[in-house]
Order: sequence, then structure tokens, then C-alpha cells
Amino acid sequence: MPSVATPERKTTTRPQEESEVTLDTPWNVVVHNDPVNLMSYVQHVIRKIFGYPDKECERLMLQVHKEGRSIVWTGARERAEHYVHQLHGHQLLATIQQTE
Amino acid sequence: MRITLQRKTGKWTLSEMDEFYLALLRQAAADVSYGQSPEGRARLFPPPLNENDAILEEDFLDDWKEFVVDEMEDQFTSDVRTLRSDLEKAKPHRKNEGEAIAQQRLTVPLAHAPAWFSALNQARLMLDARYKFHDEQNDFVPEPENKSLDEEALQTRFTAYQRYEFFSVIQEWIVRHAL
Repeated sequence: MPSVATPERKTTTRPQEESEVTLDTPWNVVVHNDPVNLMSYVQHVIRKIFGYPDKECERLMLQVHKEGRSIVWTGARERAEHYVHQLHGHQLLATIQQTE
Repeated sequence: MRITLQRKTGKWTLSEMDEFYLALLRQAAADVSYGQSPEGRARLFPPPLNENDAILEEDFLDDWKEFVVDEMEDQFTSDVRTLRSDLEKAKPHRKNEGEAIAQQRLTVPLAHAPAWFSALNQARLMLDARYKFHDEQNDFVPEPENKSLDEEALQTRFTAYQRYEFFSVIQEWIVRHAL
């Protein structure tokens, strides 16, 4: 019986990969109430920028009017900045705010 | 006194308009000039973050001022220019030949409606910032808290509020029929 040489075992150490995935915390786009902008205009701007159905735009506008603010969109920071830019361009008060 | 607003194909008209209303609209361009004051600029170009977050993001705010605010300022200025230019095209007209006082008629391209809305909105924002028509709870303040205003200053504030209300009537029509 032929002898079988036992192959030398080589132990290699694989470098530890940093595999931790960090998901960005979403950001809110918040529209704030102001006494000057017309309610019909706020509703129009929300529809124009976000393309929501009329009922939803009306709900968000009324929330701004009654509660002083409304979160109109949530998602990636860059896009949130873009939306706030557009809202400011229509002279609405708006901020981005990280979700908690 | 009256004014008639009508949407037509590709344009809208302001007609049967007393000279007084035309003068009010011309005044809008002047009202916007308050936007050069620190208080006016703060309202026209608000920060994109609330106060607490702003402390942590100075670089972002610097970029915002450099790129976004400059662009918006150009746009807002252009909107006022469009309004002013359109108003120069107003022409007197008489509905009936025998009428002694001519009224004004103005035709505006429909594409100018957003600029008109923006210019009138800037004017109202600046009037509100300047004369403080609303308190911190956004409730209307019929008379200023500063009781030391003399009769002339009160009259100026009152006529400013008339413009503020007149512009809002035109704006409401634009939102519903022209935007």
C-alpha cells in the first residue's frame, strides 16, 4: 500500500473585511406655516413639486395651516435638499430634518 | 372701482381697471425693495435647517448661500422685472365711447403668470416683514404694538395693508386660473 504523504496544511488568515453597512438615516422635508402664503398656493406648490394626488396635497396643506408644519416627504438627504431648494424657490418656508 | 380678470388662449387680461389699481400694482415692485434689508432677506432666503441643526452644519449652509441663494435671488429679481415690464404695456380704454375717464387694459402672456405670482408674493412677504401685520402666532395685528406711531405712520401702514390685500386677490385668481 503506497504511503500517502499527508499534505502540509497551510493556514491562511483572511484579512477581516469591514463589512458593516451603514444605512443613511432618512431625512424629512418639513414645510412650515407662514401667514402670508395663500393656502391655495401652498397646495398648488406641493402638487407641483411632489406630484401627490389633490386630496393628499390638501391634507398636507391643512396640516401646515393648523399644526404649523407638515412632513411632506422623507428619504435621502440629497433629494431632501433638492426639494427644500424648490420649495424656497416658491417662497415657502421649508427645512430638512433628520428622522429620529 | 373694479377690475376684471379673464383667461384667454395663451394669455390673460386685466381690464376695466381703474388707474388706482394700476398704481397699486406698480407699487409692488417698490415694495419688494425691502428684500435688501437683513430682515427682508431673512424671509426671502430662509435657512434650509432649523436653528439646532444649523449649528452643526456651517459648511453646508455656506454652500447653500453661495449656490442656492444666488440662484434664487436672480430668479426673484427677474420675476419682478417681468411684472414691471408687463405693467408698462397697460393701455387706456373706454367701454362706452361717452365715458369721461378711461380705464386701463393689460394683456399678459400666460407664461408670465408664475413671475407675476412670485413678484406679488415677494411684495406681500416684504410688506408683512416691514409693517409686522402678524404676530408670532401668525394672527393678524390690526394695529401695531408700537403705540408711538404718529398719524402719518399709521396711515402709511394702512395703505400698505390695502396693497397687501389687493395683491392677494390677484394672486388667488392667478393660482386658480393661470398657474
